[in-house]
Amino acid sequence: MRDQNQAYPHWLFNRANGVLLVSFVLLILAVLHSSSRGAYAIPALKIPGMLWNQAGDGYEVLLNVRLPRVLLAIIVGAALGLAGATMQALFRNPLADPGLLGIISGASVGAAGWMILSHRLPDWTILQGAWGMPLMAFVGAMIAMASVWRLASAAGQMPIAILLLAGIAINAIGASILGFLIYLAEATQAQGLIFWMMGGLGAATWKLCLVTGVCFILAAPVILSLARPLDALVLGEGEAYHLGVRVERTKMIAVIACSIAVGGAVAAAGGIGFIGIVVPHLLRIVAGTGRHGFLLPASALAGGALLITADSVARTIVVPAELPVGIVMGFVGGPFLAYLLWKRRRQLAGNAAFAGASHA
Amino acid sequence: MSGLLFNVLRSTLFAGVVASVGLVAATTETTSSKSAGNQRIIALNGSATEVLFALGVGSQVVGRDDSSYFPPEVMKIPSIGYQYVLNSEALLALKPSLVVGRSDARPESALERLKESGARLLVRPEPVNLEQATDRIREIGAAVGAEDKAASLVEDMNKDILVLQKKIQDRKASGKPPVKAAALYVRGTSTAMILGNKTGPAAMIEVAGGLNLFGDLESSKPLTPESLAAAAPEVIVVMRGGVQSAGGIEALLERPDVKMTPAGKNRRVIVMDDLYLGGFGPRAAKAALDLYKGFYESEGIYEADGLSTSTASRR
Repeated sequence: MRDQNQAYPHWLFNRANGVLLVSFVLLILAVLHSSSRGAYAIPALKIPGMLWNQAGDGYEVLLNVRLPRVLLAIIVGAALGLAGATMQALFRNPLADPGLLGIISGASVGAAGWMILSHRLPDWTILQGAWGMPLMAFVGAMIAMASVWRLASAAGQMPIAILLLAGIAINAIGASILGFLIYLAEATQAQGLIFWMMGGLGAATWKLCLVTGVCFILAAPVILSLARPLDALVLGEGEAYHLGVRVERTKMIAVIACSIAVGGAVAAAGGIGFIGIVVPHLLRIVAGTGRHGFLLPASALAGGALLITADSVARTIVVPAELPVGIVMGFVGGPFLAYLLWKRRRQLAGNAAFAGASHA
Repeated sequence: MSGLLFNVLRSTLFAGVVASVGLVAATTETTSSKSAGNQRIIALNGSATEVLFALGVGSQVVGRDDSSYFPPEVMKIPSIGYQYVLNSEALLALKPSLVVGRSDARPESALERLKESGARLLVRPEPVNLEQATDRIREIGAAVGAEDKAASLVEDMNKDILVLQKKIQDRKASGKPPVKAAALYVRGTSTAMILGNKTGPAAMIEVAGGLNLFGDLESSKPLTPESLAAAAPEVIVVMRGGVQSAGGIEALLERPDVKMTPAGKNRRVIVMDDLYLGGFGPRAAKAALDLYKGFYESEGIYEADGLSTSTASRR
């Protein structure tokens, strides 16, 4: 590993900041590139003029279909990247990921349940309107996360094997409930639900961006403000306590904020895995640090950039149809996870300590 | 299977068998005035059920699948679930003598078991044009001994088909291009599905003299919204069930990808009942005429559900 010692030389901070800047630039590049690609041919160089004049062939497509979709990809990607980085600190485990631990599964159960059964829910505005689905997804994510936590905690420790097994259990339960919901649904509805579960940003509208954006804005500042306590928490709960961190409070706030972020993302785009694991890991490797003041914002930026890129593949590769973006992410994330396991297999087998770059 | 059971029964319970044979004979007598009467029929999809009822043998249908809902009295028949998740045992328990459905019913092993039990299997690819639709009616008619009824159904359909063909030819002769249409399955605000040309509703577009913009696509796929805008359909054809669950026609017209197509701008949406539009059953020719009317002889939103009086056009 690049830095086993706890103290960073001064230049490493600059390097982390450099990676943060690069993540931001990548996000901007991804936005520009993705905005110029799609089933509807719009020459990239004409886009600024079209937006300036608010007219032109394809202006409406650009404004009401493509741009909301790019924005939604940023929000969802950022939420999942941020949630992944936070959960890895929270569970003190490099393999903690909203997908692997069943949090996406829990949120999916909530959202799918809402889709199939919303007409039977009480007629409260909060449940029936645009907020019903994210709310149910949030509840599902919370239940899943709390269950994993209870299942995996053993005497204040969270051994990696137990944690992953807890994730498997929660994923299995989620899969059965989803299967049951599919069974309840009528045929075409079931087909739609299956595609939804594979993840996709096709539903993007400005309104959906607003709903998902509000979820993100509720969660992101809270998570970012936890950067220092999370740094301490990675060292262990006892150590964090002695460093003056209010451990229980930090954990609870982080769990709720992560559930809001994941719930909003899943309600908007279905089950998209691997962003939470790929992005923070790449960033740690490239930057050589896992300091959360850097890792959290960088994971959000790079998560957005990654999902925009994956989605522009998903929506252009099989025109006029589209590939579920969760499948595109799976092709990237699955091998990456395998690589990660291979590279860290000794550490993972040896102890439950936080593998990867150490934390200040 | 049942034959073996029957033999065992006969050798042990002679008196009971006498009674049951008597019963079978009695029931056979009441309905066997026609050659192949008194079948026990399972209908594996909605249009098969509809054909059987139109042929007047609805009383012999002992099981139907969940996609069967027309005519309304079919709902009284017990359901055997959905045609793609068949349960062999539940099917065999109905002791069918004839099974009518489409050849892609699943699992295949369930069809095999039915065949082994001695039932006659009439599973065929789903018709995608009117000729295949009338052929199927004749074939099913022959299997249930209702050839005459089948012939008269087909004759009625052929009258409508002639009217439709005349209209299409006249239109072609006048040099007007066919209307550019797309068949979608929409549900909520989530991704819509393009219906592939092997599905009934998409096939019906061409039958009714329209141009299916997504005719290259065989199976149904999730639509990437921009491609609907790029294809620029003049008319969008949707099924009633999907539209209802998506919050109605207005919600459909509010989708950004629909809104910016010529169809969306001119509110040119055709909404038809799922089975009526895509079933290629006995009402297929009427449905094609309705779709033609929706394409060329109406303005705005056109709705037709194939129930005698509910066909109406509104702006």
